[in-house]
Amino acid sequence: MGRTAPGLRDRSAESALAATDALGAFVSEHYPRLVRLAALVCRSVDEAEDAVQSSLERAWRNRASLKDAAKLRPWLDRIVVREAIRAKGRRLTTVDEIHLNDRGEEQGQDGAGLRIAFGQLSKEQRAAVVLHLYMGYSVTDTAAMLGAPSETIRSRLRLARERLRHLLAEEG
Amino acid sequence: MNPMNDDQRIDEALRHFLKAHAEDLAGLAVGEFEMADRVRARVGGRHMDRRMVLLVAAALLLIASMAATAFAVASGRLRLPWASEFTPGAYPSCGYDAPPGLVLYYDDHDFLVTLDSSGRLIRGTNGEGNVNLTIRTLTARGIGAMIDEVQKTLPVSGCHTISVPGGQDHGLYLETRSGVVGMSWGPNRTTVRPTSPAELAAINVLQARLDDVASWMPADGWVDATPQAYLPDRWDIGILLIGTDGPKAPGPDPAALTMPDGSDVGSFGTVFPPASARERCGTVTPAFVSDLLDRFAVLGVQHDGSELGKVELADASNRDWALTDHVTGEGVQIDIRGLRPHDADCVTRAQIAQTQSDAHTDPRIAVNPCNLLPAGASSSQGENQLTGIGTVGFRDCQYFQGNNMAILSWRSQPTSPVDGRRIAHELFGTALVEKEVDGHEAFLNACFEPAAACSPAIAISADPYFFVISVSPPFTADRTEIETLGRLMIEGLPQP
Repeated sequence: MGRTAPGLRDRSAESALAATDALGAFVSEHYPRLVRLAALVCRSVDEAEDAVQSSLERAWRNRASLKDAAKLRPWLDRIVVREAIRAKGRRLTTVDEIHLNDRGEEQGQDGAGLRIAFGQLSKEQRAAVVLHLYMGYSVTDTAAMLGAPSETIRSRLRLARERLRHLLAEEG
Repeated sequence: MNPMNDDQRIDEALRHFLKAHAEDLAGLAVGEFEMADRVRARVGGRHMDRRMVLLVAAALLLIASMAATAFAVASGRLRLPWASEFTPGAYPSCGYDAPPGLVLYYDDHDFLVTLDSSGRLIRGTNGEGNVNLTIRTLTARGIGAMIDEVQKTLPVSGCHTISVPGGQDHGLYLETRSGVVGMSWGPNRTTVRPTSPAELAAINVLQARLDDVASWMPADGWVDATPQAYLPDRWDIGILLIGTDGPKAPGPDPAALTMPDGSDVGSFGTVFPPASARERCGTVTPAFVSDLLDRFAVLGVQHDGSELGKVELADASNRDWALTDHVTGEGVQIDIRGLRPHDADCVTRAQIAQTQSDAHTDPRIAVNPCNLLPAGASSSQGENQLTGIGTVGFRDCQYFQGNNMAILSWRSQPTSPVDGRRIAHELFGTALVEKEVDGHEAFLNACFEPAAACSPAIAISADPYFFVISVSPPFTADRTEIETLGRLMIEGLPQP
């Protein structure tokens, strides 16, 4: 039975309680994934929270408009990623102000380099990278979610790789 | 296996980085509970479409007396004997939409049954805004048969909520007739006791039986066994000012809309708390809704994806209609929703939401009891050390609040029953109830925390563990309920 790492909050109890009504269950099921998605795109925890809150609220209100339950997850992801790109929030806590936890420190130089390089991408580029590489959507699906042609997404991914390759080569 | 090319190596490195980075960032964001509260506040705190829960809103303790009572549907609306125990608002989590009857939601099977006190048996798909529901009507005998069936499979009396497996946080959450009792612990830090196989089997049995009512319901159990389309006789109209950042589909100016009762979007109905959500709502008649739909058609107000023109009443439920303030550009959303017989009306829900909103500012639950361990204890997140009675590390100190309640739970590292008793006395002073429950010692005290934050607490010393659960605000649990809870706690003990 481990302790909760300092600086991290234990969510399990919250999840259990949150799931005691329909909205709570809805948030409990999707929030962990959505906040990761938004945080990676925004690189600001506060902006990510705002984006997810706004998205969940909108999704909850309009959930009946979604006729195919199997599409709920990509529907939510699309709302959140678009909201995250648009977010111009409080920006109280940015990634660069956050102390990396133990795992982050263990990433060493490569982790730091990737973090810096990733942060230098535009939100649109980050969204493409996150949807495709982190969320596992195809280029076609990523394009549809971001409302951009597939070639644009391929281009964003290509540019992102180039930037990362360049930065990591400089560090190496 | 083909070696990775350069792009693939970059992608692979990125995937690893993104996974770790996402965890770091998510760890700094608010938790799901707080986020749910935030969203709930924005959408008005409605709890009507409960999914992933099974809610039995019938106190079955009085079955025997009810069975002996002759009910006659023809005599008008029945009042079940326990109806007064479910006064809306008295029990925020349990009584919110609990009718004097029976409501079952079982999301895994997209399952909904409502039996109201006048014998109307309503069922259909849950979570779709009360649309596509059918209704049949039971006689008094049919009501009794239905409740007997439930009682056979769900022996715990009172109002309880059981969420079924399907996620990492599945578990059992118990609400008693006299208030809310939460349980929170479990192996692997899940903190909620998993639904037992027996409970799950019981739920499945009940679900199967209710799926096939016709096979066991006696012929004289029906007033009308033919399912009819359910058309609500009460409707909710919600008006929400959604700012300039909401859905972008422009609509007619709300200034041009006069509601059927002569009000406008800024004065219709009642304010739904919190006021900051800028939401109003009102419960109206079908005629009111029809009139409003006519006005929408004239003005060209549309719901998402709809064509211009009149929408019939039967298709009106669960629609969100969009208007746009032509001066400020602010969006105004009007949602129309049919209510089921047991759904609370808008005024009642607003009162409950206000109560919940007020409770959030209650200083009694503004403190973190994890920091209120007895003198001599040192605390850090997740672990506290009691001194003077041996060394006992308390693990998993959890405190969370919302929905007008707060729950504290923690358990010890393996410790002896003797130490468990000493800990209980150290914590409680004089325990009000000290007894054996299934071979384990149980302690109950009405005031675990300092007097200013008085809250009932239950401790179970069950070799080799010691558990404490405290719930706020105070509730009055009777001995039977405490014993039931104690048994459920013990059943859920992880094996050391």
